[in-house]
Amino acid sequence: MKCDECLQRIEEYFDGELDAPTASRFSAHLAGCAACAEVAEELRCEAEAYLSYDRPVEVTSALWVSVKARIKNEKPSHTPRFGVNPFGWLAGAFNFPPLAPALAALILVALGIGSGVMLFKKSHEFESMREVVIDSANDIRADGDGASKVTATKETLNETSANVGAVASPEDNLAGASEKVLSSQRMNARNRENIIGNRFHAKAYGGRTRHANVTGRNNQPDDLTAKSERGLERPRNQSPLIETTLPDTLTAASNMRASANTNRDLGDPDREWRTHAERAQMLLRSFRNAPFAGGGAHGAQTIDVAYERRQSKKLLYDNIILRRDAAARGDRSAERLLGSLEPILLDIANLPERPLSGEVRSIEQQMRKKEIVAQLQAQSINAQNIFD
Amino acid sequence: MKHRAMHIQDELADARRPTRTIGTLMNSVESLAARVRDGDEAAFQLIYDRYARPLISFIYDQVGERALAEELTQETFVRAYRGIGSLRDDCHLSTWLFGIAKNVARESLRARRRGGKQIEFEDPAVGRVCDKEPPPDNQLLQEELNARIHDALRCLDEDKRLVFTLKVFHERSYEEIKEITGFSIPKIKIDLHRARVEMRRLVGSYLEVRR
Repeated sequence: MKCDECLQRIEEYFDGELDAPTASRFSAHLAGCAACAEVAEELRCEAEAYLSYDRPVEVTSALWVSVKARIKNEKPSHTPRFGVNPFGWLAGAFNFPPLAPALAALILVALGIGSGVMLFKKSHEFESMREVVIDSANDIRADGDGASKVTATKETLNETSANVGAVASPEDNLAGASEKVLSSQRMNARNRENIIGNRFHAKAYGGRTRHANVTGRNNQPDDLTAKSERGLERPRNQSPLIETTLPDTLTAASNMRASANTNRDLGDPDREWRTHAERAQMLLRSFRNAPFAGGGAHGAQTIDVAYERRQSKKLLYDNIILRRDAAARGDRSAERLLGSLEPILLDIANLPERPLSGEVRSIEQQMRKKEIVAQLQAQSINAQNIFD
Repeated sequence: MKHRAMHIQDELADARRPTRTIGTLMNSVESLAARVRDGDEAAFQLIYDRYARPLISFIYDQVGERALAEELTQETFVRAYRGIGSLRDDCHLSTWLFGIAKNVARESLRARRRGGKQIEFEDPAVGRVCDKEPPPDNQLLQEELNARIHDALRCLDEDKRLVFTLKVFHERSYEEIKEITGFSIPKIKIDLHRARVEMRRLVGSYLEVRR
């Protein structure tokens, strides 16, 4: 058996859908081919992970009680009904040769009439929608920074379009118009953040004292502070990124983690968030500057990222908690930023100890594309301003 | 490697089969169905005990909402009770029940779509952390993986989600899936492959980091 054939049907083999002789040929091939065996192993790991999927559903006794109450006055049928397949009788009619063509023609005619009526109705609704959309767009143009108006108009439109169902293009036009207004506002905000970010950059690199104050760790022994300033080493008894103000069920997890630490920031999500942003930022900088580790298998350059991998995994857990926390607080910008940081942390955590420079470069490209370091920097300084 | 692969398949097959209760083991599916037809409510309860868990999980995977899944499971069993006479082959009770569950879930999804409402999914974080002990990192990662799988399932289209859940979570054979869904075998294979690729894209990195 060739690898191509094997890979083409490996899912069927894995699903146990092949006949015995083919399956044994597959087994023989997998025993001798490392590449195909790896694919099979990946499928196995995936299946294992999917099996661990834990749904928040339970079969409660109340469920049986309600089923019982509902079937109490029912009689189970002895004859076949149309309950399972309501169109079973129709299929039966098609099996009766003299009736089949007439039935098919009848259905086609009914479908034609139905779609004609629908189209007629839609065109009327479309006209009235267009008027609403044009009015709204004029309002937006008249009011340059009218974000609230945009939102209000969008809401009205959403309500109306929910009733209409299929008026995609006018809505898209309005969404495009309002997006332009919003994006210009976002651009301004981003410029402001960049300016602030640059200022922070100058301060952070100008002197370490400032940075130590920002992180609030200047009461630690010097060696620990130095490591913390790199943002990459968390001392055992120092605060992780979890605080006591996380809402709902997240609070429980946060409290649990926080209670294990004696020296912690007290219940301030901003501080937590800032610390995380700083650490992530430092990790990403460290990753960008990771040293070459020598030649790889085919003479390719490898990079030593063992340390960054470990740290990335640690930060990943905090990132997940903070992202959920941000979502629970309704802090969309934090949620978005943490959401775009997470795949990068995952990618770094999933790297081999000594990846090829190409693998590292692709992650760096992602970082550049998302401007993640700059965003984290801006976030830290924003949080600092709130803190001051 | 060969033995290992076969062993893994057996292990997975065992793990995926729903747990049997003593009551249902002592009663064959055929006799249970016949007894229900004769109005034996206790026999129906045995069927319920046997299939409630897999059916509620299956329905939850389709609709993504806990309360709705419970409601639809209830509806599935009521329809099953009413329509037990239409069960042609008593051996296929489980496939038949999954078929009803599929119809019930689809009807619900379509009704919601017609109503113009988006399905509101529950906050995946709610109800996940309730222990007093600090959650170890791998537990946190498992919670995250659960949330990712839940969200990823929502990204699949209805047919792919149906085929994927039946195969991966309930380990149904292609023939059984065909019987439940009415899809052809080639469609099942294609949908399953695409669903796997899509799921890998959406949760793959979490699977790797979990290893």
